Amino acid sequence: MSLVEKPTSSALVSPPPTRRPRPWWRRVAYEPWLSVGAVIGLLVGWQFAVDGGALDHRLWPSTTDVLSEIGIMFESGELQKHIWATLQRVLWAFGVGAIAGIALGLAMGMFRPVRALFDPFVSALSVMPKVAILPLIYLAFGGYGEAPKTFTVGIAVFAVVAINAMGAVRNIEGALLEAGRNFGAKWWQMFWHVVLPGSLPTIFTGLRLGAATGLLVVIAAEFTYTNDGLGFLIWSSWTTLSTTRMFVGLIMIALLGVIITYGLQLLDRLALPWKNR
Amino acid sequence: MSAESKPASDKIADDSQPRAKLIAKGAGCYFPTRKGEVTAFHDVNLEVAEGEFVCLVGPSGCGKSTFLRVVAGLLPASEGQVRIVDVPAPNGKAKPINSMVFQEYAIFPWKSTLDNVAFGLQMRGIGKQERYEIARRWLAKVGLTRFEQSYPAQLSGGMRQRVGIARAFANDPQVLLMDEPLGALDAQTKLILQEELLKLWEEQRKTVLYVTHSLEEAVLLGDRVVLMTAHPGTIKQTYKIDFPRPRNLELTSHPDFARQVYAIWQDLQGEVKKALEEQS
Repeated sequence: MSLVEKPTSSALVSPPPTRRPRPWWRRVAYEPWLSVGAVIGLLVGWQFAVDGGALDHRLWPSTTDVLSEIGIMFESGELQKHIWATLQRVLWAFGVGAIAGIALGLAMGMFRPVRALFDPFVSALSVMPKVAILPLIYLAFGGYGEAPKTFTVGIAVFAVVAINAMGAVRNIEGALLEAGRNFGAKWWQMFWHVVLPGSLPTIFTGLRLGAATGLLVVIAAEFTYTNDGLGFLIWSSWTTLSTTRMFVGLIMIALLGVIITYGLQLLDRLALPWKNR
Repeated sequence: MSAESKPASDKIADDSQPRAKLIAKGAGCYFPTRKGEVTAFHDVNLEVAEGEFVCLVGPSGCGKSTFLRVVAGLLPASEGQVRIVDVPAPNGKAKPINSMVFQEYAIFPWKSTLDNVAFGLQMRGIGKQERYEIARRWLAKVGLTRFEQSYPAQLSGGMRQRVGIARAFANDPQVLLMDEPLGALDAQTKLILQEELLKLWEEQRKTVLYVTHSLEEAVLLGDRVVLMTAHPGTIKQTYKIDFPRPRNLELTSHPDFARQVYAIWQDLQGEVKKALEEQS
């Protein structure tokens, strides 16, 4: 049809490169198995080390010792009691501290006078090792009851969450605020449609950090003047050299940390469908 | 097509113009800084007629974006006056004074395309059904119907700015303000959007103040090009662009187009050099 002669394709186009299939060890997603394997390896190695006498059995319980101790404590209900005590303190403190922290942090981010007023306290608290204020709180509460511990954990969560919420507001892109104003948003619409959704990603980061801090402080608080909770379990077992029980406490607090972190991550994904899709 | 060599300040006295929609008289804007006061722009006199498309060009840092923000009411003028003549719609309802298209798009990452386009309407309390109907009409015009449920992160730069443009048009403002709306896009996407913008505007004939640093873009889109001096900015000259409408990209291949662009460049280049010297 056309007068222009088309070049024959075979002459000009090089044949598709024959790719060798990738070897099996590159095709398998082995990283997760490496992680799982490392943990299993540690547990098995530990067992052999104790059984073989490399670790002193009077001080270092074997893997199976710890596992059977978990079973025993679970059956007697003691384990649940300690977990529940810690969980109650953390959840109360985290709930109240996080809500207060978000509220004050957002207010500090949005209103200069509020920021000027509270910044010295929130900044000081957020850089301070939170455990350090525990004696002060005991002093303030005039006793050793439940309240000062929960309160200390709450303060710790509050400071971390507040400083992040404030930063979240201040880091919202200026053009988005301008767009909100330009399209006629009133102040409450600004808050609801621009400031709050724009701050949520950083607020969630604050919640994760706050939860980690909360766990840290609750364990430290339970080292003192109490008779339940995972911190108490760990500390009292150490003082009586019941090291098997100490390991049970350590494993439980680690699990608690993992569950809380993953829970918050899930919440993050559900609440922010517009991020990372 | 020739450069209109009258200084801009003379324009104010000219009564043969159709009625002015946007008026700036002796407008200036100063910012206090640690090193003293900095002038963004001063002595700006400009009138934009109803339905006119005016492009503002000038070297970077000349205050053209700041001027646009003063017109938008996002910043106060330090002196003089800048106002948009508020004319209610024929049915007596108030119409939004101005809507802006931002260089960085400034569409909300947490809102779907549909909700972004309907944003201005939602802020004005227009019900869901009506505002979505209007927003969908604009999404169709910018070819984003398939993406109405997508979030901005899932869109390309060109698509995001289409959302920004549709959001401004859907709000049906009396004046459209555009701050280098295509400045962040790659060269080819820019051409596509220039043509889309031409088509939209020629259909709607809104009053537009358009900031750009591309002379080609200004001459292609505008009825008038206003040239600003280097910092501190003021208006140096205005050029009437008489190419017939409807226009399209083909215009850019016309020798008269090139001559017009070059004529403006000859006046602009001195200002650009001044701006460069000041920065160094």
